[in-house]
Amino acid sequence: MSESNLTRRQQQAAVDENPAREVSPYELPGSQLRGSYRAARRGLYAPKLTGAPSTTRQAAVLNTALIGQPTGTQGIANGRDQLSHTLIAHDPVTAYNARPRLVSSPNTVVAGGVGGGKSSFVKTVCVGRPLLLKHRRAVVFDKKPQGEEGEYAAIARAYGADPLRFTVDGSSSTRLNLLDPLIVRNGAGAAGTYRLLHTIVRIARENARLTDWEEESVRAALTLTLAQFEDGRTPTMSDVLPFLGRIPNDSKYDDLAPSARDLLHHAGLGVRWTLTGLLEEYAGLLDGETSETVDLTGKLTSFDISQLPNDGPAVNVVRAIGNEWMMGRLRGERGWATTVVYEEGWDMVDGPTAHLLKSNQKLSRALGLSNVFVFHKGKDIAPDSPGQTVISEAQSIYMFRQDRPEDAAWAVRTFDFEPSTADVLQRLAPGHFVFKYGSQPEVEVQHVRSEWERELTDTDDAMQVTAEDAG
Amino acid sequence: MSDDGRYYLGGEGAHRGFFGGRVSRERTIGIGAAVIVTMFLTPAFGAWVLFAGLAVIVAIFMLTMNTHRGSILERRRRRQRWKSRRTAGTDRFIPFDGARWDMLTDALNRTRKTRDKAEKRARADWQRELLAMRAVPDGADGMGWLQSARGVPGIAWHGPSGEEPYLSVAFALGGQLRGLESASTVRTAADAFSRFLANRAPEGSLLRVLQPLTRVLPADSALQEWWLMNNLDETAPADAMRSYEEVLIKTGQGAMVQRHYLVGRWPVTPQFVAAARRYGPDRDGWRALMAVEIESVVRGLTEARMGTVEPLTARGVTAVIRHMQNPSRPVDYMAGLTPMDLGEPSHDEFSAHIVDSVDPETGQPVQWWHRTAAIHAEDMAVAERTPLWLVDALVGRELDIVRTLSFQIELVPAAEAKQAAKGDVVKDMADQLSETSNGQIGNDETSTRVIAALRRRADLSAGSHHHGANWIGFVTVTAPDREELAGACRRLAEVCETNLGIERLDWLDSYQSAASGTTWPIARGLERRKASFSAAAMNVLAGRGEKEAIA
Repeated sequence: MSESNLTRRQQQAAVDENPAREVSPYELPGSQLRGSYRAARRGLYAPKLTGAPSTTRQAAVLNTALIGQPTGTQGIANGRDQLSHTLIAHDPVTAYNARPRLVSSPNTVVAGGVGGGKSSFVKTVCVGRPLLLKHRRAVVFDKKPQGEEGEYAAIARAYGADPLRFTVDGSSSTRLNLLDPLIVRNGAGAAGTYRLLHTIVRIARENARLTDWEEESVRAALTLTLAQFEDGRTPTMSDVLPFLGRIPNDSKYDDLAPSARDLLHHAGLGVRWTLTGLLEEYAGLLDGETSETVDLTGKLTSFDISQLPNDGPAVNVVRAIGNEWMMGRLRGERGWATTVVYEEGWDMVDGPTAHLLKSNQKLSRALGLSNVFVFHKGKDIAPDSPGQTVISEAQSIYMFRQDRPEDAAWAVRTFDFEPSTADVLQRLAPGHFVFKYGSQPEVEVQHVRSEWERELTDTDDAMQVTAEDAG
Repeated sequence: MSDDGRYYLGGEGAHRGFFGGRVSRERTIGIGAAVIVTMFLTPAFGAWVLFAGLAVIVAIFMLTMNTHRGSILERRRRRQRWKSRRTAGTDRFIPFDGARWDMLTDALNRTRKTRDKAEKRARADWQRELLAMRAVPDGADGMGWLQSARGVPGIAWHGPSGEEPYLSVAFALGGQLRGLESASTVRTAADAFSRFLANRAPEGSLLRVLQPLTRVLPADSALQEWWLMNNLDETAPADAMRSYEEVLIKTGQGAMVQRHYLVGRWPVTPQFVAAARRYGPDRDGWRALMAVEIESVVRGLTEARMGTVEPLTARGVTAVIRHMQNPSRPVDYMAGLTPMDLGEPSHDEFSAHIVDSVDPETGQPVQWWHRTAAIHAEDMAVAERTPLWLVDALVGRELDIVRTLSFQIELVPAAEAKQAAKGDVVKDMADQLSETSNGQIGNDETSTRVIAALRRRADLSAGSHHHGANWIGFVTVTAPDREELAGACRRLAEVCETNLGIERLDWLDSYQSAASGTTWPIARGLERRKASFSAAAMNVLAGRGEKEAIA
C-alpha cells in the first residue's frame, strides 16, 4: 500500500472518529497565555468587564447592523449608495433572472429635469455597460441632437456600430424600405409587412384608426405587390401605391356587390393618397431600397432620429419601422436580452406609437426585452393615458432631480416612495439620483463614470466650448 | 420600543454598592478594611492610629478616584501588567508550529547543561520563541471548536482559564435599513430588535449574551469582478472593459463599507449540560441542542428584519478573525484556512497590537496596528438617543479608518433585573434625599442615576414583556503604522464625543492583543454579573428540570 493511500486512509479515519471536527479548548498545544488561574480570574490577561444595567427596551439602540447594502454584487455597476457607501450593482435583466426574482418586470424608468445627469446615466448604465456582457444588446431611438447628429452617435461608434442617421432632406439619410425582409424578419412575411404598413398609415393620419374597408384595401394591395415581385427585386413602398384601390382577381371578392367594390376602391385610393403625401415629404427616408450601409446585426443599433422634425410623422415612422425590425429579430434570435431605450420618450408612451409600446410590454418577458423610458417629469404623460400604466409597471426606477414640488410629488405617488423622498428629489446634486427596484426602499445614489465614459456622454459640448472660450 | 421612539443609555455604569452610589469594589474593600483595623487598634494605641487610619482612607480615596485617564490604581495595574507581560514574553505571538516546537524543545533539552556562551544566548532566544508560540492569538485565548466541519455552522468552544466556559456562534447579517427609510420604519426596526432581545432573555433561555458587531472596511469589488468575469463578452471593446474597471475603482475610492455580524454566547452551565443531555450523550447532545438554538436565532433575527441571516462556518469565523488582524486579507478569504488557523504573528506595544503578516494577493509583507477601547455607560452623556445614533460611527465620512464596533448585551431575566432596579432606585433616592435634605442643591450625577433607575424599573413593569440587559461596548481601530493609528484614535474619540455623546473611550492599554478579541465575532470581554443571592437561591430550588420531561 502506498504512503499517500495510507495518509488518506488515516485522514478518513480521523474524520470518521471526529465528524464534527471537535477541538477541545483544554488541549491546545503550545505555550499558555494565562499562567495563573487567580490572575486570570482578576482579568489580568484579557479584558473582563461588567456591563452597565439597562433593559431590553433601551438596548434596542445597541444594534450595529443598521445599514444594509441596498443591492447585491450581481448586476451592472450603477454607482455608490450615499448611505452605506457600497456599490449599487443592478440591471433589470439580471434582477429579473435572479432566483428568487428581484423585480417582476424588466422595464426601467429614468426621469429628471435638465442637467441632472440622466442622459449620461442612460448612455452608460443602460446602454454601454450591459454591452460588456454576453448575450446583451441594445437598441436606441436617439432623439436628442448633439450638433449634426444624435447624442448616442459617439457611444455607438465606440462600441463598433455606426448610427443609422435619418434626415428629411434625403441626401444623407439612411433609407429604410419597409417591405425589406431585413426589416420584417422571422417569417412574419406579408403579415408583418401589413402590420407595419397599417401602422405607418395611422401615424401619417395622426393616429386615426383605419376603417375596415381601408384595412382590406391595404391587404389587397400588398398581396398584389408581393405577387408581382415574387421572383424579382424586393418591392418598395412606391411599388405598393399603384395597387392601392385595385381589387385583386381573387375568389373572395367575387361575391362583392358593385357598390361594395366601389367602397373598397375608394378606401384604397384614400390610403394611396395618404402614403403618396408621406413619400413626397420623406422620399429620402422611405422611398426606395434600404441603404446599403444599414447593418442591423450588431450589439448596439442606434436609430438617430435627432435631425427629424418633431412635429411631423417622420420620427414615429422610423420608430415603427425600427420596432418591427426589432421584434422580428427578438423572435428570430432567442436567448438574448435586448435593452430598448426610448430617449425623451414621453411621446412614445403617450403618442401615436403608444400601441406598439404596449404590445412590446406584453411581449417583453417572453422575448427578453427590457424597455427604458427616459423623460423629464410625470406631467409629460397625460394622467389617464396608457402611458401612465406603462410607467407605473416599471420595476427599476431612477429618478434624477425634480425641481418643482409637484413633479417630485408625482414621483413619490407613482413609485410609492417615502413621502420625505420628495424633498430629497428636489435637492439632488447633478449625477445623483434616487433608485428603487422591486419593492425595496429607495436609496440615493451617486452615478460614477470613467473618464472614457465622460468623454462619450457629456452632452453640453457647446456650453463647454463657450466656457473654455470665456476662460 | 420606547413609546416616543427615543431611547436612553448612559449615566449608570453599575448597580449600587453597599454604601449606595457608584463606588468601586477596590474602594469599598479598602475603606472597609481601613475602618475595621482602625476601630480595633484605636483603643489599644490611641489617637495616632485614628489619624493614621484617616490618612489611609484619604489615600484610598485618592488612589481609586476616577479621572478622565482612569484612577491611579488602574494606571498602576496597567503598568504592572505590561511589565509582567514583557518579563513573561507573552507580548509576542507566533502561531503554533508543531515541527518547530519539537525542534526547539529538542534543542533546549540537548543544550540544558551547556556552558557555551553562544548556545546560552541561543537558548534564551529559543525559550522566548517557545513562550510566544501559542495555539491561538491572545484575543481568542482558550478557544477551540465544538463543531468545525465544513458546510455546517461553526460552534466555537471557549474555555479560557479563569472565565466561564461558553459556546459561541456567529451570524452574518444583511442589516435592517436600506436607503431613505421613514422614521416609523426605523422605529419599527428598533422595536423588532428589542423584541428579539426580550424573547431570549427569560430565565429558561440558554442564550445569555448577544454581541452585535459591525466591521467597517474599505470597499472591495472582488465579488462584482467575479460576477462580471463569469458574464463577460470577450469581444467587448477593450476601452469599454478598461472603463468598467475604472468605474469599480472609482466607486470604491475612499468608500468604507460595513459587514454586520451578531454573535450568540451560550454559557456551558449545569442547566445547559442538563438540557443537552435530552438531545444525546455527551457533546453530541451539545451539538444537537445547539442546532436547535441556532435555528431559533436565525428565525428570530429574520423576524427582527435583519436582512439575510447566515450562520458562519468555523472557517468563515476564522477568515473574519484573520481579516480583523490583517485587513489585507479579504474578509471572506478562506482559501487554505483551517478553523484553528486563527492567528497572525504579532507583537504588542503598551498601546497597540501590531500584526506582522503578508498580503495574500501580492505576497508582500504588511504591518497593521490595532488599538481597542471599551465604551462604558458611565462615560456617556445621558441623553435621548434615536435608533440611528450610531450612524456617524458606522458610516461617517470623516472616519475613513478601518474599525470594528461591537456591543455585548447580557440578558438578565426580568425578575432579577426588576429586583436590582428596585434596590438601585431606593439607594439612589436615599442618596438624593440626603444630599438635598439641608436645603442644598443636589448632585447632578445622583439625579441622573435616579432617573435612569426609575426608567429601568418602568421598563420592567409587569406586562411590559421586557427584561434586563447589561451592556458594554468595544471599538477597535486599525491603521498601517503608529502615526496613522494615533491619528485614527484621535479622530474616533472626537467623533464619539461630538456626534455620539461618548465622552471618553477607555483604551484597553497594556493588553491590547487580548483586547482585540473583544471586537472579534467570538463574544469576548464581558463578564456576566453574578446572580444576586436570592436569584442564586431560586436557581438552586429550580433544579435542572425533570429528567423525564421532553424538554
